[in-house]
Amino acid sequence: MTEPIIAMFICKTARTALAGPEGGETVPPEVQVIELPCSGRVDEVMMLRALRQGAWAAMVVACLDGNCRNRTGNYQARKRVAEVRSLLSQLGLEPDRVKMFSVASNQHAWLMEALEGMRRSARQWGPIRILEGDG
Amino acid sequence: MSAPTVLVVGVGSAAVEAAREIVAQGGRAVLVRSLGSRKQCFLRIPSGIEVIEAELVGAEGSPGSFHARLRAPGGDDMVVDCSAVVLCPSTGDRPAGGAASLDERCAAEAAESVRSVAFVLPAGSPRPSFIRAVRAASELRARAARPSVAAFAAEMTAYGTDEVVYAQAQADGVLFVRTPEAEVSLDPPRVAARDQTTGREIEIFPDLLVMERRSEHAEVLTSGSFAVARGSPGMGAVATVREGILSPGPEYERLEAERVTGARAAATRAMTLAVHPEDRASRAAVVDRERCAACLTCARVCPFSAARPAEEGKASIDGALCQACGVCVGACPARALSLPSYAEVAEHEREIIMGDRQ
Repeated sequence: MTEPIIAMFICKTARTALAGPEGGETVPPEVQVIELPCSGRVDEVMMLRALRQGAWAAMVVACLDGNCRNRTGNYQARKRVAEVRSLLSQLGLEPDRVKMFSVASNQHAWLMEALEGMRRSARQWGPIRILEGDG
Repeated sequence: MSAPTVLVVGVGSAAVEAAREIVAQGGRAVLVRSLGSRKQCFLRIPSGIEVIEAELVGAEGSPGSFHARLRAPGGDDMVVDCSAVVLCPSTGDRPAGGAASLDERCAAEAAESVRSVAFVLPAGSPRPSFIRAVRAASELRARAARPSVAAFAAEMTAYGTDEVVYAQAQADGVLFVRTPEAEVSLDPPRVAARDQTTGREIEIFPDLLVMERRSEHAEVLTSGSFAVARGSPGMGAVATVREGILSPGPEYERLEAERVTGARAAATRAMTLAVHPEDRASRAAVVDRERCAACLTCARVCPFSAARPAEEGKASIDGALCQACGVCVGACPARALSLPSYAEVAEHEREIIMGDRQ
């Protein structure tokens, strides 16, 4: 049974939460971390392409409400994640494959738990059934 | 390299403290203040700080190279070049007509003939008012004439070691009355209240009445006519939305020690930016004018108002304001915007997702 591939879009600031107490990032190899200047950079195309290019699920990890260093970036991210979830369900795919998470930069344990949760769910769903083909 | 110039704007102790810190860190501090109707300022300005009596009307540029426009009381305008700006707004205590205002010097300035004093701090007074009143009250009691001193306060807010000062003032004979709203009249000065603790009514006719102004909550920092909004917490404790312009924050709710710390923090951050200005413009978002549809989605979505319509209505990004957050890049329906500094990551992300997995 192959491990699910998870795409994690995470902003520069929230990325500190990936580092454990000893200092290194402890992310399994199947999790592709994509760093963004701000979670507000994430857009619908980025999330959908992640799925079409092999990810079974995509996490968008942003800073807590009110804590975005760019004030409203995480609100933009939430709107766009909601849009993608709506599109997914309209396309007959599980909307939960794309999910937004809000963390403080010291919430390492919480983020690792959230990641585990996504991997568990992704094992249930399996890979996306619509593949980027030749046509 | 010559000392960088940092402009400090404000009339209160925070401004003086910030200016002092700038000089201590090797910068050139220029204190800009507009006394307006205050006429006097009780604060001593340490040597090494240049003072300009003027109002700050605007500042163009970016960290490392600001051009601050000042307007002197006579109406003459001047421009001061500086690397950073520290704004220290003050509450602008204005006493009620006939009453003295609660500030650091009110006890020292009281006339020798004063025999009875009343301090009145209504509910909603700024946090540091109480202990300032207590210190002034103790100072007055220490005079040879031993005037009678009463303090009417809604809350006895003495924090930490200030409790010792409060206890000492009570031992010195200062009368403390707890009341949310004392009746105050000014001609002749009269204060009446019901003490909540004992239930007793008290009425006095002081020679000197000292009052604190009720403070209003202010989100926007103003310094003369120059208004700047505070940044979000993620931008740093002393940041405003404009890089290179710092502020310790609203003064009215802060204890003395907090004010000093805030002023030093703002000064330190200003010096850091002055000595190492970031080249913001090269990181700014870039508009592909061929693709831009002049829809102004970016302008609406930018948290820093960096995206503005320019020629043909198409978007133009102000390099000084752009924080390279990418919100506009994600929002643009025409994919006309890009972040040059993240172009490599985009390629890399493509590669790592594609990989050879299936």
